[in-house]
Amino acid sequence: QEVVLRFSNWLPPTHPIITQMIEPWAAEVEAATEGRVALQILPALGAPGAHFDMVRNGVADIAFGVHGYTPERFKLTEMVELPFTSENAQVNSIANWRTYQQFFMDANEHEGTHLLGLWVPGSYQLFTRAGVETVEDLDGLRIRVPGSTVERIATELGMVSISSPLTEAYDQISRGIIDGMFQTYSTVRDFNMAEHMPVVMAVPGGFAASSQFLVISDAAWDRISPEDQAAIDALSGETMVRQFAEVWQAQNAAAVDELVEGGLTQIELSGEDLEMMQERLAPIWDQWIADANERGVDAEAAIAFYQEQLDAVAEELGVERN
Amino acid sequence: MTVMLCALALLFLLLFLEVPIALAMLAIGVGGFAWIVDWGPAGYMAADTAYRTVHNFNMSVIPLFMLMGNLISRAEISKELFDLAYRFVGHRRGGLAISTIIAGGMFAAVCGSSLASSATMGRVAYPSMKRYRYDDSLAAGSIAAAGTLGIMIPPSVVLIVYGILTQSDIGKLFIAGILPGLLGAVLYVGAVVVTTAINPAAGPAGESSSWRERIVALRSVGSVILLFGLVIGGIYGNVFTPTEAAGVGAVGALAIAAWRRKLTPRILLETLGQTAIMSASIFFVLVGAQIFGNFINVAGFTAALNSFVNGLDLPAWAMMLVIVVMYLILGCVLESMSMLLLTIPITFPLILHLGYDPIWFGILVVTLVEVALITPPVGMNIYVLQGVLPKVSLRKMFRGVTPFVIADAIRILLLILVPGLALWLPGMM
Amino acid sequence: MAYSVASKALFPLYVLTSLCIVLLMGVSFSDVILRSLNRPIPGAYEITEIAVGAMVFAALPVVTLRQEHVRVTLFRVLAERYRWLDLLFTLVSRGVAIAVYVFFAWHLLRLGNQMSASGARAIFAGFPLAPFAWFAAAMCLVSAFATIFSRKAPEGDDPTEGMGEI
Ligand code: NA
Ligand code: NA
Repeated sequence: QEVVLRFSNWLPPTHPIITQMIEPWAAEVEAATEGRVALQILPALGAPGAHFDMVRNGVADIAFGVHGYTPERFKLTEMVELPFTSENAQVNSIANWRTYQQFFMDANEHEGTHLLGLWVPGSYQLFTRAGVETVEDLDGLRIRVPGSTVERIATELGMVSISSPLTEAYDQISRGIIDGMFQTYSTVRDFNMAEHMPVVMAVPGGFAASSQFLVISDAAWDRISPEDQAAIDALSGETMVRQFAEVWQAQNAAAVDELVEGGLTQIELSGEDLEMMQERLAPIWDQWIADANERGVDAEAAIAFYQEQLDAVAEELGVERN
Repeated sequence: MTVMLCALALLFLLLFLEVPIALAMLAIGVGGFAWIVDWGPAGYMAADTAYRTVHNFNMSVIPLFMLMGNLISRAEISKELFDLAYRFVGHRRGGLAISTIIAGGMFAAVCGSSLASSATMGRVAYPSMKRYRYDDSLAAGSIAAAGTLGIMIPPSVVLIVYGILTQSDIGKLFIAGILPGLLGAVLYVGAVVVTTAINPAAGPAGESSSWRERIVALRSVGSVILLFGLVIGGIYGNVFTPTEAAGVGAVGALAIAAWRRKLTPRILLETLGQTAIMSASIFFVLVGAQIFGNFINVAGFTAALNSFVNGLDLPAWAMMLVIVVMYLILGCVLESMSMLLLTIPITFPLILHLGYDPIWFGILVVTLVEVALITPPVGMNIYVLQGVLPKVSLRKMFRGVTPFVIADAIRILLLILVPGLALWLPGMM
Repeated sequence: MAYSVASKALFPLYVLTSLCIVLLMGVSFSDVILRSLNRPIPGAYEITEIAVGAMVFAALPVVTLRQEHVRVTLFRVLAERYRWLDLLFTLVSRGVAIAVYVFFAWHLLRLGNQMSASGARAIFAGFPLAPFAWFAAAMCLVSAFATIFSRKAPEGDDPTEGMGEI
């Protein structure tokens, strides 16, 4: 029998997530199941932030989404959003996936769905308007923040955080209403925002990251035969995480080169400045540990394992952690 | 495809049975979605879409720009705008009709709605035209046409709705509407000139004014220029986003109405309530369109239509011509906002597929909506005018708009031939 | 008679929806001003979202009762000539309206329950979101009742009233 899975896509059809991650993966699934399971990619059936619940309620069978769009909901999964992890998307994603499996899978934050994979598209660094040169310059800077973790970071650094939807944020940065935002290199390049934000302040491992997922509903999963489920599982999990994050890493690396060539000023914090930054952002970690412990996991152990894995994965892949 | 065609037929049946457009689209959208997927998912999709469409930051522009227009109407500025135009062109043949067009254009610069524009202009301009023994057809036609400028010259509720539906930049759409709006006014003036040249008795000349009187009249438009400059200048000059401009514009209009002593608490509540009701009825049609769009989407209609069009192998301009003719026909039988909301989920992916610019298409569609507002048998502006001028027969009104519909046809042709008319200004932003 | 009683009963909603617009205007304007002074209102954007939503749903029963929904009136002339046609129009449009309202009331209630269970909150302002879905559900239910008593609002002083929206 044949199973056609409705994939609701809220991104432009030409976005790398679709053309370089989802579509190739769908082709592999179709090949591995000898055509019995196929993806039907439809334009969005709802808002970006609604996609997890849309899958849970059967509106779509399968969807990609961003955890940060429903803040506090995926508290444990939010670990990867913390500062100073790894700038390499692949290293960070794989270490995060292993930690999630070992420590958080049982807490079942993705209840009602079968989790196919989790990854990050690289780290957020702080992009700002011209004239920002030192850490002191950050004081009072108007920054657009996408969610609660980043808001806490901005507040700790003495910045004025302005909450706005992404669409409005582009408008605001081009009009000088805000002075900057936490973003990945590839987003800044793809949306041509570098002309308004010609300075980037970077810390090793990044200030934060945005955690992304691919889920399939339990109901749709049950329509698939056990053999085909096994075939799909073989293409999911760490295999998928490795593949998808590799695309992101390549995107980001290319974006850094392009942006620097285009005149981006990079301020890489080190020495005293970095120490001070780490000290000021330490409460963000403590807060997450407290929240996570409340949800019944061993947060300290999870973080220790995650840090260990960050180094281990970097070594496995033969790359720098940052 | 069959499911889709049955659904469309059923939708039109419900519409003609006077089921509110929003509810008809909701019923067919949910039912169709359930037919293809299931009732549970259809219910969740419907509730989630309704909740999110309405609890949406970008949507706040609609009530705020509506409020701005309604407050400006209450401020009774339109009379002075008309007087100003009259001082300059009143002594010419058809001068009162031309004044109506010019005043309508100026009023449009601070009011986002076409119905409010024609109702206001009707009250202001008709008595003068009656006094100078204008032909009722010309009088009513020029008022209805002047009203249509309200949705092209920014701010414009229709452009906002188009922007929201297609996720196009509302600021760019506004700026893009300026030149085509001015062109529309010029062509309407041309229509008056030609009509009165053929039949001079239709619009006798009025008295001429001295330059002193003209200068005095100019003072009255200060507040309009100020408000337009604040809102559109603020958007164009990158001072604020269209969403913020709406809030600033509403407060500005409130200040103007209060300063001219046109607001009592009662009138204020009435204006607010009326604004809420008018915006809410738009929102529900929007929700209906979104849910209907989700059904079209899940039915695979967009993809099917695209491959059908590819199979036809027509050049892009011929497809565009088909789209324009379809809008002109629909514009005769459908109320204009519903026409926009019903068709955009189908035509927009198509024009993107054909490689047209979304901002340009927005301006073209709004021009087509303007035509729909004045073509029989369903022309909202004409119905509004009937409320204001009960003594003029519908037949005379529709005869009166004919020259203006021809002017619009010329404008549509120019827009298609010279896309720069719409795209030049936003390109300079 | 029933109409005017219903109309009075819905007056608080009329005031509520008006107040929501005032809130929208106030938040939007003061956010622009305060932000230029580097003191943005925390959660201004979420307050705006809630105000728009509450405005729309509070207006729904009023819109329904006064028949301010946009509709196609192509065959109005015919319906005025033939009584049975008018009756058909009335029955079908009210039947569909009640069915749609009850359906939405039920599913908005369930949506609210899900939001409440997953603890959905406004990120910056911090308030829970479920009550607003429940409010929307309640307004749909009230609208289903309002449908029964609905009729065209008596001629007011403003000719644009009830003439659609643009
Ligand atoms: Na306008
Ligand atoms: Na028409």
